[in-house]
Amino acid sequence: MVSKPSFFLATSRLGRRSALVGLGILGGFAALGATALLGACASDSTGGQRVVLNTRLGLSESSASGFTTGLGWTVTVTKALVSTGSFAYFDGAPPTVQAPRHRNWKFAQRLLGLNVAHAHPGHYAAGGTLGDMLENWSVDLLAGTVDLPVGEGITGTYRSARFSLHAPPEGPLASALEGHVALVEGVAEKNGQEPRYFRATADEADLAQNVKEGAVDGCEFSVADVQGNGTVTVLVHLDVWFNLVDFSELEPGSEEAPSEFPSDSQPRLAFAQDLTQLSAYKFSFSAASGMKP
Amino acid sequence: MQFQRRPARALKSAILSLILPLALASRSEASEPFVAPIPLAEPSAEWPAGHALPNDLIVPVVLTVGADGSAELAELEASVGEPFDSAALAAARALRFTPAHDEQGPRSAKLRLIVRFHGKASSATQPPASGASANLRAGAVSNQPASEPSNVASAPTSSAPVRNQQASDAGSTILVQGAPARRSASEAVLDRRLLTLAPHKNASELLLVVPGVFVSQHSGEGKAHQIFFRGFDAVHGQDVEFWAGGAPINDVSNIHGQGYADLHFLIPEVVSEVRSTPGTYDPRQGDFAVAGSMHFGLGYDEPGITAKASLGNFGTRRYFLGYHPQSAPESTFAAFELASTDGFGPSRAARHGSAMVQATHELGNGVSARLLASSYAGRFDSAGVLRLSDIESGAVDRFATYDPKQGGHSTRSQLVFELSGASRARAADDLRPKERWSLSPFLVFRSFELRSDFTGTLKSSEGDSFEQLNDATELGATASYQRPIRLLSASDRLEAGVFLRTDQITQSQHRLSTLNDRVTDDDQNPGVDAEVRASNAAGYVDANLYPVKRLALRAGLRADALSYRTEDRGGKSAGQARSALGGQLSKRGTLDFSLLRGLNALVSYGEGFRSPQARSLGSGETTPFTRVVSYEAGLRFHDETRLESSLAVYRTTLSDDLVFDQATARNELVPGTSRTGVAANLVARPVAWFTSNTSFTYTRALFTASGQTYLKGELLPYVPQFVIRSDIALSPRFPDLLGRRLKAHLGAAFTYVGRKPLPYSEFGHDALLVDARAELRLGPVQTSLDVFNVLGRDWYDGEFVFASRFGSAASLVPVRHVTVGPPRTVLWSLTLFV
Repeated sequence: MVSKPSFFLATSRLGRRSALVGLGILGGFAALGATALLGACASDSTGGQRVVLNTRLGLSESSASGFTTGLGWTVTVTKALVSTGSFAYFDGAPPTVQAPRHRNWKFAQRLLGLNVAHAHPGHYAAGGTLGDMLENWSVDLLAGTVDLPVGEGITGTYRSARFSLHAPPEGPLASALEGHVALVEGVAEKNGQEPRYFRATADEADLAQNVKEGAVDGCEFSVADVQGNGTVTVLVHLDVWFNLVDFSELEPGSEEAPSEFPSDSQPRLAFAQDLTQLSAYKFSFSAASGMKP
Repeated sequence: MQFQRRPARALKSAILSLILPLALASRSEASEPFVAPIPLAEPSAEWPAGHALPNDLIVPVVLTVGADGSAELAELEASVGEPFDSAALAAARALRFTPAHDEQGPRSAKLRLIVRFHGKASSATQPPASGASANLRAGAVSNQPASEPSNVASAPTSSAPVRNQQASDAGSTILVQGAPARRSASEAVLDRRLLTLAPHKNASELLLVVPGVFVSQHSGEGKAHQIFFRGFDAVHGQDVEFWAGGAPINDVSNIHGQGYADLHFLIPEVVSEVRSTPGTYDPRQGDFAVAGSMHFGLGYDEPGITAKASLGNFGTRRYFLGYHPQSAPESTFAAFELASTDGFGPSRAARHGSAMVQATHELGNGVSARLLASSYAGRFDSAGVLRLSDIESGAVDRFATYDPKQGGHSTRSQLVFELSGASRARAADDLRPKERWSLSPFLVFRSFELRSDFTGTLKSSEGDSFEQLNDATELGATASYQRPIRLLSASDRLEAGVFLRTDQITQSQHRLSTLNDRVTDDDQNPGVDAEVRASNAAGYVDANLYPVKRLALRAGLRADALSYRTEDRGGKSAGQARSALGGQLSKRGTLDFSLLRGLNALVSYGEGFRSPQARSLGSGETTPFTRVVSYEAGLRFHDETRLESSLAVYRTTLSDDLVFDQATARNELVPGTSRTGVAANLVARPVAWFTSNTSFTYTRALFTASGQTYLKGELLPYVPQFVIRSDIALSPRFPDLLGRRLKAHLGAAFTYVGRKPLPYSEFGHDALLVDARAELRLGPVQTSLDVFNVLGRDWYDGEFVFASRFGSAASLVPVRHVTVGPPRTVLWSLTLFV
């Protein structure tokens, strides 16, 4: 075997080694590039995003121009102020939503005259919180749909909501509310009875008999797959607020001097209870322009 | 007989057909791995006339041993100044060896050698025969023939730290060590030199030097660190297998998290090396080796007694005492540590004490014994999380706490015994070990207590604070047997090993009132009181084959059986018991091809598993393992002692995964995931006084299937995509001062962690941290100044997204919570070497 000169060996070895090191470095950059390319082709998201939720409050169509209560009184409202606290939206189904039932069972129910028992709110599982608006505010419901402060949230399927009637009132109509969480004036009429000009109010203490801290928990949120910014609209069904109020318990009053709901009277107790009825509030979502609802 | 030989022949043919094209393409010659030189004689150096020092002096030398066993060339690896350099070189040249050899006969080879001049003080009590001794270590240099390009993939040594031969007598020690064969291109062994380039507060932070690793300490200086490794959020250890001194560290089914690995018992001064084994390519890797494994080697190399006192801001105090007998290898040592701090903010005080002792002894006949005992106890407060919005709005100070009652307590006491042996052929000139074996039982007592509050009053008006207790007694053993087997070449080796471990665990978790500490468990949070017995029995076979020149094939099979029995001791399910058992077979292999001297290409494949939390299993359930598959391809290059680098592309897939869930504020099961990335590492020592170690890791972690919360293709949250680390040190030598050796060390570490995805398509805060050390040693006195977070950056060492209620009007939408990283921290130390 003929051995090559040592310097030749060293030189060629050095050259080959340098070349290979260079090749290795180039390979590294190629690998890095390939990895980056791989990354570029894939999503750069962990899924979901934070969204801005405008909040609006208004009257439902059914109660905007007067309504008839469960006790047959036709009510026309001339003033409707409400003090709101925080709003929160959840992915848990509201308690008013029935679990899907088999068609045959529904038929059998009808046949047997069985009514469906709704779980009381204590069985409501709100699930995860998807959005909220935390500022206390006050709204004139007759002024049309009113913008509340902007809330925040995350993408997901919105199914239920909670909001609170807050005292003391804050926001633009705080003084007009005179410390009440709700103040409604109007006239209730019923065939054969003298019209009742009324001034209904509810305080935190009135609500405390029905709910904790004024919170109306488990409101129905029209199921919405929220994937971007948008507006949460809350429609208030004033008819529900007076559904069980027996206006016959009130003095007739006058337009100038409406009759107050006396403490511990049926109208006051009923009004306070109806204020916290889940069916009095319907939540829905509309995506901002360009966003899929 | 033919029946027995056919399978072997068939296997040989199959493997040959697989690798022959590669071999032909390389046009290389056949060869076998070699056996490192073995010293025959003691060095006979004396102190240079008139220059004897009271303390020991060490001179590192690289020695080329010729085919005739003589020392052909001695070069200084690091200069200590004249006339010691010359004396050390002369002593090294005087050494005689049994030459390195392979199947073709003797070869020349290089060795790393340490010449030690024994100090006059120590000589007075234990005079060495010649005044100097040599320690020889076969590191990166030693396993390479010196005269020709390396034609072996890597030496066929055991995976555990191996001493090929050790001989000692009064005053001198000769130790030859072999590095385990690499299982992947990105495998890294970080010796003490690399671990101490920059300062570290504790042993856990030594992991920062490991390529691809970032650790953070989000709940007090005593709770196990959170570990991120190559795209895995291993939390406190669920995805990284940890070993130290022959004992496993991960807690099985710890109430706080599967695989909880508390490394605080390790005294950083006695960590001699950290071996990182990414992926699942080695059959020795067991439970928790999902992202990889970390092995801490223990030893203390400073002869005599070392006493160190440290003083820092935030009331930090630390005392260290260690010794290492001069007549014994560095694996024989004792060390003690006591540390306390007031912390850099409220609820951050911590204190701990640890003692570790280890002794090794040659029993003769090639059998050696090692005994390790350690005990640790730590108590720590924790500030917990803060809502990021509260910090940014100024509602709370960034170092504040919502709940000052958080904190914990941790202890670990352990005993490890190891017997190992090697037998050789009877022929006097055949020094190749014929057999190796080891048996290492271990016994560990662990206790853990933690009180945390992540969510305020979200679930209970009295507070969501909860307390976790976990006491475990762990008994187990490792054993291995390795022997030559002539399958494809004369150097082929086969190893079989067994691992067994059983844990008796008592654990509980209860919600506590923040008002009066009473237990407030209810139907929604029923609490936990349980007894768990977990057992793991495993066996493996591992073959090191050298089918053709330049190519090594390392392949093995591992089988694990894991069983769990859980008995509830409290609540409505008290008395209920359930048991589960499962098995897992994992195939692992590596092809290591030597392209050129110092340059190897490696391709690795491995299967692994992640074991479940015992409490999550139903009775009779076949233990549902998460299946892990890892792939890696890369290059390794090392040029003598000056340069070592690696570059690898890797991918790991998991059949299902665990991710911190923003709704439940704990890790929840999610669909399958993958990690794809590239890792590069460069260790350079162009001159004796400069060393750098730089690594770059990029990983993209994705969901590979859709689930309830995440969709296929989306990024896995919480794992940083970029981890970059660079440790740089200058170690200049100065002329002697006052007849004493004077040396300095200036080191700095740069850590960058970036692009950490968070839920809702957000990204966490990037962090760039700089730590620095300045050290000056004059003879037996050393002073040092360590500065952590030199730039004083405001940074967050933990970021989590979940819902909480801290305060009355807080949003319940999942928001970002953070734990605040330490500010600039200074630690001054004074060390005496006696």
